[in-house]
Formats: sequence, structure tokens, C-alpha cells
Amino acid sequence: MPGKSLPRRTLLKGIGTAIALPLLDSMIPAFTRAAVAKPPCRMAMLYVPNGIIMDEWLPQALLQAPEGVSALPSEFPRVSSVLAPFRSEMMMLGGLTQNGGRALGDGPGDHGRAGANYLTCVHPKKTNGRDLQTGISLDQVAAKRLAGKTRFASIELGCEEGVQGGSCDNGYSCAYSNSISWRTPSSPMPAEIRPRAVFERLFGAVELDPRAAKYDKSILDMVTADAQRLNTQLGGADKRKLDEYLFSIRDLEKRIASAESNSRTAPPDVPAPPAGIPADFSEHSRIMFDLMTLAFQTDSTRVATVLLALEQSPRAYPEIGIPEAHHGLTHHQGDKERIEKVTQINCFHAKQFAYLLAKLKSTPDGDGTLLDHSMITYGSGLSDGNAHDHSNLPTVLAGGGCGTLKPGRYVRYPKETPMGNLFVAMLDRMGVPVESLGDSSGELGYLSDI
Amino acid sequence: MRAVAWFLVAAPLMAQTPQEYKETLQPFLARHCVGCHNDKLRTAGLSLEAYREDAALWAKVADKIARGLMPPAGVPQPSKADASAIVSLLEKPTGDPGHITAHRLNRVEYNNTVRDLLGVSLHPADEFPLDDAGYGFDNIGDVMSVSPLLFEKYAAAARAVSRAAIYGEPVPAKPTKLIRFLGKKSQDDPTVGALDFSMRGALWATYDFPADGEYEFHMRDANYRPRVNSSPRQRELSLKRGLSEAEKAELLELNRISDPAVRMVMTLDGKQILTELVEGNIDFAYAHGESVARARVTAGEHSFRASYPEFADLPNPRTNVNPDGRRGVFIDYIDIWGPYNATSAPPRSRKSIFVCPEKTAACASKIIATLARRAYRRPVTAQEQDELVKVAALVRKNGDSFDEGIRVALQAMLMSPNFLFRAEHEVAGSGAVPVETHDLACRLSYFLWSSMPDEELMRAADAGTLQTPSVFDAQLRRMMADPKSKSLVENFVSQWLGLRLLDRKKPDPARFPLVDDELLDNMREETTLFARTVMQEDRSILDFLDGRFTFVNGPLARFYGIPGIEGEALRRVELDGEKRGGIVTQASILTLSSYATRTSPVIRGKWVLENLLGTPPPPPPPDVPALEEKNLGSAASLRERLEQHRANAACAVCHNQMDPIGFGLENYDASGAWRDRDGKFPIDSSGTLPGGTSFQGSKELKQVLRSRSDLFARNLTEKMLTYALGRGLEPYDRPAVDAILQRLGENDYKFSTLITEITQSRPFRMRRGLESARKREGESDAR
Repeated sequence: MPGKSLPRRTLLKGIGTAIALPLLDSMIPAFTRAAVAKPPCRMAMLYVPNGIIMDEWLPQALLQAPEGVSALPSEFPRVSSVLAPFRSEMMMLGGLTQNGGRALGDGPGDHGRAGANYLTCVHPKKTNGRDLQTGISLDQVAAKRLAGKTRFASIELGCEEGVQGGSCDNGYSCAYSNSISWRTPSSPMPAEIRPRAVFERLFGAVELDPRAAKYDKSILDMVTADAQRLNTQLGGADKRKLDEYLFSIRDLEKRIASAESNSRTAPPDVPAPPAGIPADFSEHSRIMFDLMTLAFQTDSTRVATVLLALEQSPRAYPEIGIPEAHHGLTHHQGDKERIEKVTQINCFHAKQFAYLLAKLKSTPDGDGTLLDHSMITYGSGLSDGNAHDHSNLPTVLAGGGCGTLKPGRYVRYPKETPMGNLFVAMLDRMGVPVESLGDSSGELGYLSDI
Repeated sequence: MRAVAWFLVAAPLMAQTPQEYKETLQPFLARHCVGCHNDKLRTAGLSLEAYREDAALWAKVADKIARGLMPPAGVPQPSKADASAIVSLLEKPTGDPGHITAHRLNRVEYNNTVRDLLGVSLHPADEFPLDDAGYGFDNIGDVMSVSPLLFEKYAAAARAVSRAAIYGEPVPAKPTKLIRFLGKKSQDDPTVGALDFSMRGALWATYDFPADGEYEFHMRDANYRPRVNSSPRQRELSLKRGLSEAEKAELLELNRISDPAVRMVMTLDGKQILTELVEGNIDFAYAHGESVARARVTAGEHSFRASYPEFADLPNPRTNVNPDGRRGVFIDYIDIWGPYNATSAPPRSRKSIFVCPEKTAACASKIIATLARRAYRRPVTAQEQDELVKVAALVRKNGDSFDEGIRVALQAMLMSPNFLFRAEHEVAGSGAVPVETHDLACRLSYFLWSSMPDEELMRAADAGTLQTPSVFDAQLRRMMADPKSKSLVENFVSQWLGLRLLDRKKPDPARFPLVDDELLDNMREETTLFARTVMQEDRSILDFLDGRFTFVNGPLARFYGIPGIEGEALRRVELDGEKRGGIVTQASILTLSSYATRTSPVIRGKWVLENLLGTPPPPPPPDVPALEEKNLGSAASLRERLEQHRANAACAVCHNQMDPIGFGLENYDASGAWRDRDGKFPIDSSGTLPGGTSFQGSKELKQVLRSRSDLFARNLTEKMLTYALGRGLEPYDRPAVDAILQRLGENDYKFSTLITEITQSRPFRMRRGLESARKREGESDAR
């Protein structure tokens, strides 16, 4: 009889250590708090698929807001109301567009484009797989520039296993919707969805145990030579595959070097999360947020992405009484019952985001909290999922950005302002300025000034 | 060559000359195509008004014409001769065998390869990130990438696997509780992983045992049964405190009558290791303490199951579900303790690794060379061997043991691109040249076994005789007969049919209360066994369309309405072909092509077109959301509402193909159960396809499909060739597909013919000679 198998590690870790994660809060390693005077700035980008019911997103009072800055009101509609407790810690941004998600002559496939386009701001090439082509994503631009400062240049988290199939959306490879993070225009960074694996990667990592890693350098040298030899024999696409391999070796080598030189990386005294993937979305996403917080807290990384669910997600939410697949529901075509269900899913997602904000806000960091020293975006590559609208995207920018943001406001930007402009502004605040990202046309204003 | 080719950027391959274009092609296009596909209308996003240097485009045009899909029904058709002249003009064979991009092992291949290389039972790749797939399969070299995350997992896996191979797998020092499988919260308890849920109270799983030894299975039944059928008197007595002896006896007796004793059976790898009788009881909960079974187990993965076999024959499994949703009797938990009396024999892999007994440099060299040849699946170069030996020597110099030196060298091999990638040798020559012999061995073994070549195949490759027809045929036959060939069915068929998606397509429990994880599991197994039978008995591939047999157990048989089948084990039954027969009428396929809450004739129709006939409908026109069956009011049946939709001509072109096929399957609900009505509406399962073919119900629909067995065979051939090569097909592969199809037709569409012909085909046996390959690269760089 086939059945679910459990990984061997269950044996090694033993069930006894599998304590629920909320305990993490109390287990902040003391030394990280006082270690540096000026805490670094962190960024995390959270993605929800299939758009958001916009009537339940933007506060009524802001519908007629003029271009520019308005104060966030106290009354919020249902979806954003779960974020109301953080109204002075976040901004809502209106008018941002991802033009690259649109067809631009390539026909249908808005979901396929929306995911890969979201952080890259580059219109993905329509392909069933062989020649993936989009841009380098915001997080990876930052990761590349910040590499070496922390053990992990970035972490990629998710709450839904990717889809295996040739074309997920009208000729767009599933790779486009399986990852929002792209290291190169053709190399997606897969999201880890298993909490235990994230934990072990961060804190059980081999390079932290010098005895286990005694010969790693010799091995890496040898396989690097193997790969270089192979690379000279190969051409074209084969070379690209070997280049990815070589990049990954160098990445690990850097990590080993940084573990040796960086004393802030000692693993926290925190029990490992359970081995399985919680079936309940809320539980799953919260454990991932706990881990992300822990990674920021220990300065293991400063850049994270969280793919809460995949574009065109077939996921149903029985835990809140919705047995239908999310994506199908979003094509509600005006049906009230379906709109209601999508609203509930949107609320459910936003609640998990609120959990993260509360968590970051309650985590001391230097002279303030982790939320003060972070920029967290929450949003979707579609606004109205029913109409596949790529404009006026629902976007929240939360956190203080190390004093570079003035939260508590709503900013309406001119129609069709590229989302990339926000990303350029964020990179600037991370101390890694760029001229442009994808189809950006400048740097977004009104984030800290009047 | 087919729709997938649309997305490929093929090498320049303009078979037709400008003169041919002007004299033959242009007039044809003007007469038959440009009416819709012009710059203004751009029907389906395509204009053929002006000539374009785009091989993929012309391949698609040729394909549509060849299949008779274009021009569409209802407009004047070209003569057969004209059409085929155009097709052959567009598809002049070029003899290009194509290029297979260096292909890293995917998760399944990694696990299998480690198993066959070292005999360890770890499955490290289960922890790797998901492999991206292309063209419907997860073994496409072009699509699979290496990320830092994956590389870290390679590093961790190499360490764990090399340790297990040299020193044995980690074993707890003394017997301990290794794991608890908890049935109570089986859906959502994160501490044990999500176990599958059974209304019949069963619990089943696999567990990877760390060592040879004895293990104890501690299990407990939970018993809430008296709540199911209890009488007022029973309830009264059960709520009363301080029962007299007489009342206790009375209650026990009443409980025995309302809920007769049921037998629990626990099996390990199918063999019974424990049984007990669970009776109705007084205090509702736990009649028994723990029951313990002890069994000797070899290291590695084993499956166990505890269940109440007679429940397999309950007319309605919900008999075992109380109104509050809690099950009457169920396996509360199974703990595994051990190992007791673990045998500390060296791991089996040691013998195959330490081929030389002394702890000398010469022996180290020999051991490493032998191992590396197998790990790299080809002879090792002197330089490679030298570097591996150096790594081992460094370990010794550091004062670590000889064995540790070998282990570190093995760890290095497992992280080498030579192990992780299947990068083929360049072969000198221009045009198409035969694949290097070890590469051919790998193509064969990864196609049939999803794993590395075994020693016998390696020897044929070493000897250079593998290309000899008699040797190749013998190897092929031997490999097909090997149990490892079940990988072909499991990996190919599950991806071809989309079976892996079944987990995500669970029917809504509120609307389909008879479907639980256990039944879904049975459904998946049914389709897998069916496919395996087609392979093992070398049946016609057309059996996939309408084969009159299947595999069911008691629950699935009852779900299907097949009488006379009892018990939990699936077994073969012959069918009359009326309601069931062939994969389209299997519950797995019917479920995965439905919404969770209801059927969708559109999705089912699309599934058949895409997966069986290989003629996927084009995507909906730009900026129109995929057609949804809107306004789910109750005034009209689903069918009527869809008919209304098709009044829109733009939608009708494709939905006239999809929807009727789905209508033909409307007698099956969204979980695959037979139905005559959908709510208040009687089912109308008739359909009329473009071109006027009409049918009534699934049986006649299958006759229609059977009449298009040419399309089906072509589709299956293309899919399997894609899987076998690990690359998407290109226009120049069409002659190879045509040749396979011809042989299939001559051999009654036998499954073995398909396999044999694929392995004989030009793209499988040949590669681009070095000079041609370099030339192409130069061209593509220049562009």
C-alpha cells in the first residue's frame, strides 16, 4: 500500500524535540541584541496570488484621494482592516502598475507573467520551458550587492509546493509561477516550503560545524575543477547549466568563509520546528514568518521573499470553510458568493501578514524593533484577479526602513507608475542604489518626504 | 510538429526556398488561411499575411494542416493532395538528431541512482527543491536548474550518503521510540507529517527503518462506536454514574448488539503481524491498552497498515463516522520502537566499495577508480582519478582513517558534476553521429529505470558492443523485464496523465462524503496498475482508450457499482465496457479533471484533447479570461448554460471541440461516481463534435476516440519520446515519430513496439557531430 513517507531525519531529531514554534519568541540569543550599535536594514517581499478584491482593500475615504500623500484613515474595509492595528507602521501605495505582466502581444497568460514579473519588472518570455527568460528580481539585486555581509545573501520561503508541468498558464512555464525570486533571467531561486528544512539550513548548517566540514574546501576545489573541465568541453545551453553549478559552489564557499569570520552566526538555542508541512495554511505561514524573523534577528540574512501561494493557485482553504480552488473563485464574473469567498481568502492571507508585523514589532532590535529596521512589502501582481488587471496593484509597504520611511500614509501615484520605481527606492534605502530595475522609470517619491 | 513546437525557438531550418514560397505556399495561404490570420484580425494571435523566417511557426502551420485541424470545419477545405504537398514542403526532413542539454539528475533519478550505486536506503532527494518541468515532464535538461539551495542539499546528501555507505546508517544507541504515527488528527498534526485520512479508521504509512533489527509496533484503537447506533437505554446507562454490576453487564451487552466486535489487522509489507478484536465498550474511548507487535525488519523503507478489513465491505463507509465527525473505531496511533537486537553487520555497500583488501595507496587508488567509474557512469580519466586519490590521501595525511579517506573521496564524487549531471560526450564528425556508447547506456537506463546503468549494461558499453543490434535488443529486453522498469510506468504515466495532481484535486468532502484519502489512493493505484498491466502484458496502447479491465478493491468496486468484489486489496476485474473501461472512465482521471465541487465539461474535454489526442485547444484570445461557467444559478442545467456560452462565435471555435467531449462524461460526477441526474436535471450525455460526429454517453465517446487512434498513438509516441530524450520535440523530429508510428501500426500498437522503436529512433541513437554542433553555436551566438 503506498502511503506518505516521513524523512529519515525524523529519526535523528526525534519526536521529543519537536516542540511547537511559538516558543521561539522567548529564545532570542542574548548576544545578538547588543552586538551592533546600528542595526542593518532588512527587506522582505511577500506575495499573494490572483489579485485582491479591491473594494475590500482600499479604504472608502481614499477612493477620491488626490495624487500624492493622504493620511491613512481609521476605517478600513474588510481585507485591509486586519492590518489596521499597524496603520502607523505601514503605507498603502496606489497607482503602481506592472506593465510587464500584460500581454504586450503575447496573448493570454496573465498569471504566468504576474508571478515572474512581480519582482523582476521584466516581461517574461513565453516559453514552455526551454528558454526561460525574465529579469533579475529585486531581492536578488540586493542579495548580490549585500553578499558576504551575512551568511545567506537571501532566503526564499514559500507555503505552497510548486507545480510540475510544462505549461502552467497558456504557454508560460510553471517555473515562472513557482518562483518570484530570480538570480539571473533564466535561473529561478526555488522557495523552500518545509519549515524544518529552513531551520536546518539556517541554524543546523554544516559550515557551522567545523568537524563535519573539515574537508569541504578540498572537495569544493576538486568539483570546481571538474566543472571547469566539463565547461570547456560543452557549449551553449550545457554551459549555462554548468555556470549555475559553479555559481552555487562559489556561494557555498563564501558562506563557509563568512561563517569563519562572522561571530554573529552562532545558532540560536531554539528547538527545530516539526518535520511535516502543516496542512493548515495559517500555521504553516506563521512558522515560516517565525523563521524569517529569526533569520533577520540573528542577521543570518537581510533579504527574504515569501511566496504565500502560487499564481493560479489550485489551493483550497477548507480551514476557513472554502473547499473551492482559490484561482477558480477569483474568476467570479461578478458572482456575489464567489466574491465573498475570495474576500475571505484575502482576509485570511492578510491576517498572516498581520501576524508577521506583530512579530517584528515585538522583536527588539538595536535601539528599536525589527519592524523599525525592515521594509516589508505585501501585495499581488494582479489587482482585480477576475479581469487580470495589472494596474493599481494592491501594495503595502510596512516598517520603518531604518528611519528612511514615513509610515502611516497613503500615497496615490500617477496612473501607470511602474512598480519598479518602488523597488528602486527600496534598494536605495538598503544602501545598494541602482539606476533602474526592469522597466522602472525613476525612483518613487513620497515615501519619506512630503 | 505539434502544439508544443510553437514555443520552441528552433534553429533556422527553412526547408522551403523563396521560390517555393512564392509559387506554392503563398497562394495556398492566401486561399485558405489569410482570411482569418491576417494583420488586422490576427485570429489566435497569428498573421500569415507576410512571410516570416520562423521555423517554429511554419512547423505549427504544417502540423495544423496535417492534422486536418486547419482550415476549420465549415470553410472550404483544400484538397488532400494540396494539403499534403504543403505539409511536405514545410517539413522537409533535415536529418538533425537534435541536442540534449546536459541533464542534472532529478529527484527520482537521484534517489534511484544512489540506491543502485551504493545500496543505501536513504532518499536524500526527497528534501531537494521541486524539479521544474518542461513539456509536461520533470526530466527535461533545459529546464532543470541548479540553485545555491539545491547545491547545499547536494552537499548535505553527499555527506549523509557517503557516511551511510561506508559506516552504515546512523542507529540509535539503545531502543527508543522512533516515531508516532497519529491517527486522531491525521489531517493536520504537523508533528507527524500529514497522514492520509480513512473514514474506515485505517492508518497506513511507510517508514524508513534505520537498521536491520527488531522493531516494536505499539498501537491503540480508539473506540467511539456506541455513539453511532446507540438506543435511548444505552445512552441513559452510559451517562449514568456508578453503574451496578448488572447495569454494566446490560450496557456491555447492548453495546455488543448495536456495534458488533470488529477485527483489527496490522500488516507489515503486506504480512500480518498483529490482530485483535475490538468490541463495543462501556466507557466509549479506549477498550484496549496498547497492543504490541514485534517484527524483524531490514534497514530501509517498509510499509505498514493497520485497519479493520471488514470495513472495506461496508455498504457505506460513513457507517463508521459519528454525527460529530469523529470516527467510530479508528487506529488512534502507532508508535515504532527500536531497534532491538540490531545487527551491526557492515553495510551491504561496503563490499562493493572495498574491492581491494589492503589499506594501501595502491588499494585506495583501485577502490576509487572502481567506484568513480560507476558513479560517473563511464571510464574515469587519469586526471579525475588522480584528483580523487589526492583527496583521500589528504585525509590520511591528516591522521584520519583509510576508510574515512575513501568516504571523503566518495563524498567528492557525489558532489561532482560528473555524477550530478548527465553531460554527454562530444563525438567528432559532421551531421548526425552515433551517441557515445556509455551515453547510450545512460539514455537507456534513465529512460527505462530512471536510474544508472547496472554492471551488465556498463560492460556492454565498455566493450563497445552496445550499438550492435543483437546486443542492444538483448539489453533492452532484459531491462524491460527487470522490476526497475516499473519506474517507467510510475514516472512517465503519472506525468503524462497528470496523476501527480490528484493530491491537489481532492473533491469537496461536504459534497462528496464517500471520498476520503484512502479512496483517492485506491483510484491512483487503479490507474497505475492498469498502466503497468499494459506494459507487462505487452498489450496494445489503445487499451488506454477502452481496455475492458481494471483494478478495484471492495471500496472502489462499490464506488463504481461493480458487484462481487470484497476486501482491501486491489485485484483485476474484467469489464463490459458499458460504464467503465479505459482511463477516461477511471475515477482518478475524472476527479483530477473536475473542480472540487462539481464537474467541468470544459476541463474534461480539454484534458482529453491535450492528454489523449494531443490536440490541445489554443488558448483563449488575448485579454479574455479563461471561459468560466458563469452565473451558477439553478434555472438552467450546467449543459444549457454552457450551450449559451457557445453562442459566442469567438468562444465556440474551441469550445465546440472541448465541451461535447466533456458532456459525454457527464454521467460521472466530480469524484468519478456514476450518476443519472445532476441535482434536479437528468444527465444529457450526448455530444456532437465539429464535423458532425455525434455520440451518446461515454461508451460511444470512447468509440469516437478509438476512431482517432492515429491521433492518440501519435500523441503517446511524442510524449514518450519527449520523456525518453529529456528534451522537447522539434520540427526535425517528425520523421522519427512517423517511423515509430508506422511500426506501431504494423505491430498492433503493442507497448513493446513503442519502447523498442523509441530506443531505435534517430534522435535517441544519434547526436550532432562536433563540427555541426559548434557551427550551430557559432550561428546562434552571431544572432
